[in-house]
Amino acid sequence: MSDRIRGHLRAVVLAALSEGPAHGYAVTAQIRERTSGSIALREGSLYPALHRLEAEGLVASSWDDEAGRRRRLYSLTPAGKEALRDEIDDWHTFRDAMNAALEGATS
Amino acid sequence: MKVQESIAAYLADISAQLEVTEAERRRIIEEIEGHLQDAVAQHEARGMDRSTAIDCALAEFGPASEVAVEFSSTAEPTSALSRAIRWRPLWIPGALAALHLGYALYALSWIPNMTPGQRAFLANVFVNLVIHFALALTAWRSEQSLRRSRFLAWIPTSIAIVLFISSAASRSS
Repeated sequence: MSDRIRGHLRAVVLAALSEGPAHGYAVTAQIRERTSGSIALREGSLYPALHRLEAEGLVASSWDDEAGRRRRLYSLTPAGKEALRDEIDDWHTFRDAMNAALEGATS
Repeated sequence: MKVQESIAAYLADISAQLEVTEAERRRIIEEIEGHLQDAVAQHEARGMDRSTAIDCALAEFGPASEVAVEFSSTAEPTSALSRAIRWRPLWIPGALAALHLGYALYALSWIPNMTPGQRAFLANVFVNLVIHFALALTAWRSEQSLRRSRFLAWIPTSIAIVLFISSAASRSS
């Protein structure tokens, strides 16, 4: 499971940020909640992914000082929203292809 | 080891293994520290004692060495040479654009008394300047492209080389 998730980490993170700006911890919690725990992201992998997305211009970040705690707040850029749409389209194409390929196969 | 020291030791371990710039190192460590504080607070809210909450938070974040490797592989190259090498798809179109800019500036000195041949040369130089500038810009944008396709970044370079060779061949013929 973990290797497959790693391959889709970009899409998962972009989707988590589509609901609005969030701190890294909130992103991991959101992913866990959305997937009912099916995707248990290793938290140390999230921040490098966020940094990569920021380097690609898909995500923007800024420091947020709240209640004496300093957190990095991440949000999708317009390019990030477009990339998310592309990821969703790619996933639907892949899903439909796999469904067609596996249909009727015996286990 | 006191509980707060274990987070400090973990962060120090990551920091020591990061291969990033100093500014990036400070940002990464501060981000991880903030995350761990949130994680510990959540575990404590669920009834864990502080020591167990910290152990859980550190385990969930992952081994320091693996975290450091992932961050280092994401980071921008730290040396000037590495940064220059990263932009190598831009070298040839950029150099050809600069060359044609030099030609154009030289040819401007002919303007008061230009022959038809010089006029044609100047027009050719300006066209090539625009094309190679556009190719350099495309190579730059491709390098920064959403999917970081190295193949895409080299297409403008290839086109620039073909154009330059054909242009040089037609001038010499």
